[in-house]
Amino acid sequence: MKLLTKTRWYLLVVSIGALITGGLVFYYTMNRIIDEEINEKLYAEKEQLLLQLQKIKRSNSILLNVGDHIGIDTLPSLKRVKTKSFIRDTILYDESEQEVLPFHQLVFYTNLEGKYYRITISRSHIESDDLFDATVMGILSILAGLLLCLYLLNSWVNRNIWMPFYRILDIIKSFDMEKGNIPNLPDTGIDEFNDLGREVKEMMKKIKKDYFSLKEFTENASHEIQTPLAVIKSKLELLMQNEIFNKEQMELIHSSYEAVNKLSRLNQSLILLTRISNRQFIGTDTIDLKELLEKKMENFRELAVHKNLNITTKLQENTILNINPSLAEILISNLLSNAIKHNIENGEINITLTRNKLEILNTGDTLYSYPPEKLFERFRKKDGNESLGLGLAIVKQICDNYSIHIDYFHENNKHKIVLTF
Amino acid sequence: MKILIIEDEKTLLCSIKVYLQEEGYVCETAEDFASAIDKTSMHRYDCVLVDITLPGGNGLKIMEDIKELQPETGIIIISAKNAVDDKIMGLNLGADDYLSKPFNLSELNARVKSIIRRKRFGGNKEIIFNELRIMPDTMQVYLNEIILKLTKKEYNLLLYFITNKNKVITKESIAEHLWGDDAEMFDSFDFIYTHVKNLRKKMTDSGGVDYIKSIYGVGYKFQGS
Repeated sequence: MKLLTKTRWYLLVVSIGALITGGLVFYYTMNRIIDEEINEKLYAEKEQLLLQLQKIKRSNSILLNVGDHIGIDTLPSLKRVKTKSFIRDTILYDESEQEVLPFHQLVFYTNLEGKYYRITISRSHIESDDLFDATVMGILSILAGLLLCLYLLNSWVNRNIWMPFYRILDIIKSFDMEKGNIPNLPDTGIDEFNDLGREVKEMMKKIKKDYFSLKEFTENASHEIQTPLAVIKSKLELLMQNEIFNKEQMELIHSSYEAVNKLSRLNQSLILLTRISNRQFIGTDTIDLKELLEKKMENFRELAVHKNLNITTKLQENTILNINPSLAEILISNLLSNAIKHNIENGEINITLTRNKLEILNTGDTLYSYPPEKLFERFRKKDGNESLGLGLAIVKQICDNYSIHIDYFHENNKHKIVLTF
Repeated sequence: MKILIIEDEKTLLCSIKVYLQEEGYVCETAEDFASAIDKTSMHRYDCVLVDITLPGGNGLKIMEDIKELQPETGIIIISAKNAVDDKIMGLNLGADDYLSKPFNLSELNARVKSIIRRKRFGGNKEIIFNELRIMPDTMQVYLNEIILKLTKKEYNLLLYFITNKNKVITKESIAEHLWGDDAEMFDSFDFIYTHVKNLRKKMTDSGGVDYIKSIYGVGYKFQGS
């Protein structure tokens, strides 16, 4: 979720919550207040009326402050007299509005010159209702309006405040190790972002330095080690031309020669591994895996025939991988050579390629006394085997670089390596 | 045939010189940029071997100079780097071939001969050895004037043997010559033996002599009288 969206979301949820809660609280509070208002009015009128009624005794005319309906009933007997007055809600026909409306009624009993009367004062809600509605709507609109403004203001402020952050983010994303000039991050006016910018810049400097340092190391290692090896190899080759050596002596010379070859290959493989993990293989291409597999299998065909291996394939067309072409070649080459090298005479190899999976199954005696997950570490090899033990480590490194998942399974005396992309 | 070897590592320079001299080439050497420039401006060579990792980083400059001064000269880059991109770059810059250290001297010899053949004789020069006649441009081999039906690998093997005749050739160098980068997979003795055996059989079946001598534990030698 985007940063701005998240802050907006929180604000929105809280605002709506506040609006609803506030609105409800306001509504019920107002309702009660108005209710009590009306009741108070009714009681006030009762007192006024009682006062006026006492005066009736002394004069013939009364001045009643009439605003509400007043009903006076004579009570025939004492039976229905209640001492307490009470308020109730009812519906009556209002002549002025010409419709049936809700009324608040105060009913009380009084004694006038020995006679008992029940008096009812009724007051309609309508005025207060209208007032009530208007007030509530008004307040709620103001509240909503306020929250909307707050929301918009918040969005605008946030967008502006976070701009330096996005700028720094862009710089990080577009950082190119090989060419990368580390750009200057201008003063943002916000301490935290300035700090962030500074730290990011330092980090980029260091990463770049480490990268080139390692790159230089691999180049030097290559040169410095390969040259003396070339010297040894050439001297041994010249030595072997000598006719005077017997069988044993020739074997001694040849063993040294073989060791030099192995050292050279080892050096090259380690350097390759380092370069791959240092991400020095930039540039990708759309590689058709089916084509690549077929090409590499053709390279190894003679060897497969020599070992009498039965190779079956099931390759799906158009299985593309976006990968550096050299690395693709190394990957497939190493996987295939591994399957062939560790295979037994008359063994078999089974290759299945689907849109997102490559499976290589091959026979061979139980290779490793190491657990499967250690298979891809460096220098893992069958005890006593001539191989370097780096082939699969290189494969794993390439897979890691491109987020390809690799697994090893040992089932039915067969070895299975599965790549998932 | 004149060859210039530009290499700063003295002992290696010496080895190359010895081997190529035995093959009959006149070899001159240069150990640094200055003497290399000197030599290339004064003499003409059939082939120049340049160590591109010459100190001072001038290996490429020498190559450019040679291409300017003597465009028909074959150029082989020798490099300790062995990076695929370096190889492509080298060839793009006009080198005729690229060999990475450490290499077999027999392989270097084969490359030199191949380039000179191409440059000097337009690839037309045929190779005659006793009853064998090899036509490199058509990749045909005649034994007593009858065509030998060889596979591509067998042809390359025969050519490699004859190019390095009377020299001990290790099985590893044969594997590298025939299979290049994958050589490591193919250098088992019995595998190479099978190919050699097939070649021998084809030669002797057509009435030829088996010149290939096994050097036990090491490789072979194509023995010419």
